[in-house]
Amino acid sequence: MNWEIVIGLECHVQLATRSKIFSPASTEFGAAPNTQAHMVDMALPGVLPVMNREAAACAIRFGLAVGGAIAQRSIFARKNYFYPDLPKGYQISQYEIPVVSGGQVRIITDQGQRSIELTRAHLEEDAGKSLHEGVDEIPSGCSGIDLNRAGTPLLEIVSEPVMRSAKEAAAYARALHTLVTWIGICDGNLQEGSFRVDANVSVRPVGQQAFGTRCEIKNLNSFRFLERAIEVEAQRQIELIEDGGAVTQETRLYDPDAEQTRAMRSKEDAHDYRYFPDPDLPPLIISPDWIEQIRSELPELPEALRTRLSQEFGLSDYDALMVSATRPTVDYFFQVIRAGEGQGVDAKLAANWIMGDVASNLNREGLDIDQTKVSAAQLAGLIARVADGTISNKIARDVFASLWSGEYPTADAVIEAKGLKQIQDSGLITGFVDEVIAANPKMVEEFKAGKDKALNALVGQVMKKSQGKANPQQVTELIRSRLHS
Amino acid sequence: MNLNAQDLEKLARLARLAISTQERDETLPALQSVLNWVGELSQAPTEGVTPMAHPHDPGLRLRADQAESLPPREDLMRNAPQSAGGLFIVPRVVE
Amino acid sequence: MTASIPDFSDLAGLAKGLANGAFSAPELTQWTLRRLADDGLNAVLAVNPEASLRQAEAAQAQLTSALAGRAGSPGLGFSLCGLPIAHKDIFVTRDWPTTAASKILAGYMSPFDATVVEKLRFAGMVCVAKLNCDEFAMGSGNTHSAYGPTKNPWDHRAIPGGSSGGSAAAVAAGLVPAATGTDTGGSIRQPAAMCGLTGIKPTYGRASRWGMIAYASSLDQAGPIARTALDCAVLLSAMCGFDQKDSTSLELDAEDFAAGIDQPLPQAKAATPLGGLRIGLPKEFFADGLSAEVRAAIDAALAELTRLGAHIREVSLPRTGLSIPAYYVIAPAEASSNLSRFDGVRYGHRAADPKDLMDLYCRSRAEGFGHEVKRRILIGTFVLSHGYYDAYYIQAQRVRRLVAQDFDAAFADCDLIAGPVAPTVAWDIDAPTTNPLQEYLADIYTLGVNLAGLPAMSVPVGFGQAGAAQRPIGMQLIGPRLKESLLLKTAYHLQAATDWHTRTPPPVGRSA
Repeated sequence: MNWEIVIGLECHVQLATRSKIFSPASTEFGAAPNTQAHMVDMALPGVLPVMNREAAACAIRFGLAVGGAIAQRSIFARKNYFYPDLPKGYQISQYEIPVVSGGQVRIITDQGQRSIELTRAHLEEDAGKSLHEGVDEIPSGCSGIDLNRAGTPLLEIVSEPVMRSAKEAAAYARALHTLVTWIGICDGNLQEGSFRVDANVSVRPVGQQAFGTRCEIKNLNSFRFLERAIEVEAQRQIELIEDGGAVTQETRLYDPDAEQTRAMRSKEDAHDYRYFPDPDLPPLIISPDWIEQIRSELPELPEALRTRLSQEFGLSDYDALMVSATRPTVDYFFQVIRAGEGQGVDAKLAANWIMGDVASNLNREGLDIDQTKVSAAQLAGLIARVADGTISNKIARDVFASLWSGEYPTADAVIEAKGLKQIQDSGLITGFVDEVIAANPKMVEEFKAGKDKALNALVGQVMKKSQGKANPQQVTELIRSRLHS
Repeated sequence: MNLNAQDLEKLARLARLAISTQERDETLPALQSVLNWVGELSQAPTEGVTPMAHPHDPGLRLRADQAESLPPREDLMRNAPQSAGGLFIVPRVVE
Repeated sequence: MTASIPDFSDLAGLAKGLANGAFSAPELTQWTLRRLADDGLNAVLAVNPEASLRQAEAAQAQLTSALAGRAGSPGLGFSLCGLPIAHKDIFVTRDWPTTAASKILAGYMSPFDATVVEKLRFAGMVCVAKLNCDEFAMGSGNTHSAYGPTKNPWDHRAIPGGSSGGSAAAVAAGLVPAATGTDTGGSIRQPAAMCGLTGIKPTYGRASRWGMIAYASSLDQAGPIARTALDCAVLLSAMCGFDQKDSTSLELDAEDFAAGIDQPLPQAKAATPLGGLRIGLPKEFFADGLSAEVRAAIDAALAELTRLGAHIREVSLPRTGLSIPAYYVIAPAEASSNLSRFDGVRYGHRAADPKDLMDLYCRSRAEGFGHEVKRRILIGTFVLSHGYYDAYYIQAQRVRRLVAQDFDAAFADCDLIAGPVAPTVAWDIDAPTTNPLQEYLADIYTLGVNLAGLPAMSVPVGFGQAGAAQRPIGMQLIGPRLKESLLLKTAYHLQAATDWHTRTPPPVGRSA
């Protein structure tokens, strides 16, 4: 039996506003319990919600970024259920008429590019948190409720169930994560729960039109876990069906240690959310003028930028994707290009260096690109010296390391101080070549017998003699011409 | 429609209201009569009429995104039946 | 000194007394507190004499400095500074417990004041008590309070009306000159009528709902119950106004509803101040079900209005009958959701020794809520539930629009609508109540107003008999959106020409 996995993702994106969606409490992470819960967030008797303009603006920005339709008039609805982290006994969300409908996100996997269609995106409020035993003050058998997070604005983004592999799903989640941080509506911090993913997974025999019964895996906050969780869940469902069983529709959690999903115990009651329009909130009106104003303030979006990087700068799709991983990265890239103008600093070289030594050094030290220790100007200067042949690529990497350490202000300073200039004097090089040929008769024999490896070995010897300062291409040509004569 | 005892129990559970069998049986007739009576609404001719959720329909007023300082937590939590370490305490939440 | 405070004074009279120094605000407050202590009607739920006197001292200081420099204000308007006010226990207050007449909020101390409470305090009024009502404002007779029923001062066997029964009873008995109430389906107008008082519910959105414990959010509105139209006008002006903490609050400039209240209508002469006023009588309000004595009292009042220059004509509100089931779908639906927050977690009653979370929720709520509240929560849960939402809730919202359209159409032919408030006078507290529909059907004349969000008031127009006792009758005036001034002016002129509003019940259990 050939099985097809069907996946749809619901992503909950915490919007990067200063205050909550319906109350003026701060949204900053990490405050002492219940010190950022306004009386509105605590659902005290008599309180009422007042909508945050910036949350609506974030939703508009998102709608524009994915090419979705932005509702001129959308409605807030109450989703009614009882849970201790939900103080009102209902969540203010949107149901029949969400703020954004449709839209799409492009993803790139090793199968190529495709567009993932979105169903909708809507505004809602986040719930508080339950803390369990292990926190000192909580008596045994109890949980502690912290409402600091209650009321934080969320944009819930629902994809169509069009993904067919865990890899695609992870690529989509990553692309969405990049997009929402790119347009500045979310800080993208997975550890702090700014971006959470629920995966709806079902399986069906290849060729069957009808969907199988799906399960929802909740609260995945890492892309690695997302991918793995989908894989194990699909496998679980397939095995269940192949053993003669049937999949029960339920909500599950992923256990990364056991690499298994398990059913959530508290959701045995079928929920009837009794959605109805919230009578405390008139409809959200979004005028065409407001949409245009936000459109004019949108940065160039990743899609368009990548096209430009390919077409204008000749980068490959992969390089374009890497360089545009975040806006600060692509800003850095453009700064390098600008600083190196007229000095042979081409886009490909810049991209390589950014994806290479810049990235590895940042990762090693746990830094973001805006904390880089080699500025765009410094990198441009370095690349220029490789382009004009002053130093080899190998030497350039040592120069980079010296720049990163902060000892020297420019590449030229390093080259000067350490005497790293490639040797241009062909007489000197010829001398080295002759010495090496004379000293390594066996290698010469092997080369003449057709073994190219021996050539590399000979070149290596000359490079050693020259302390890396010879031009490897020049050395190679010299050896060839010497030994063919 | 005819609401029976099981339906009433389901409603009570949805609404988180404990209800004894006796209360259930006592409440059922009155509830049935009210629901049957409001059910007569379905006879009212309402084709083409837009539902009215608010008496007037202004747009939603939007507030500037500014964080305000709050009263001390103790003020807002002073009526809590059980609290500790600044948390509201409840029986274990099982996931 | 306090002997100079006449019984059953209205606010205007007391304001004069304060202005000419006949008594001070603290003296007036003490006098009022003594009255309230001698209740006998179960109208009072909470007092805090220290807090009241603090407010009175502050008001007196303001009065003293104001008197020094101020010329008399034009017209009949008066300052509320130093005058006592009692609040329906639906409004949260910092210095008095707020219970919504429920066990689930016994002893609850709010960290903030309702906007309406705050506005009246800023106007200098002195809060003297929290008053009884139907639990969570659900009821038409104050018989659904967890703290016992309130008696009608006119006849202790009778209900005072509801849900603002405590407010009406306290004012009618002269314990306090005015009180705040809330009106979701008639809960200001009906108790005002049953207690022989004047009460007004403004256009939806005029008064802020911040701090007003929500029953049905799209229907609730705050308003005053007082002895005269002028008192109501001055109070309403102070209570209303845009509040940015309430998203349903109307963004309108503050309005002085008392300005020119005693002037004739623009096109009228002094002798017939209501000349040109077209009053519509909905034929559906005068059909079977309206008792003969209520009809007679209304007719007499209409005759009076005609003498004052108004023209009466028949109009129609065809969906009057449907407004009742529509209300009893929409209000319970919203209430079932609004009351979910009462779960024993963050405040309010929590059941002892809950064995788990489900037990905590179910038992706390079952123990804390009374029968009528539970019934409405169940009705509301039902009409919103999957499979019934369209047939019940959405259908009710469609009927709501039709009811609103009926009023719009009627107002094309008249300037205001008049009619009864309730089909009968107040019924007995002990009247058998096996069928809840009986109580619901009595709301027939008042519910449509809330569905449409219009302003409406009740003015006393006479009495009916119940054995040896008299029970008051009120007439309802309904206006188009934002036309509170017209309603109040009409009521004012009616009261200038009649004296029903000056009648008082026998004094309640007081020593001299």
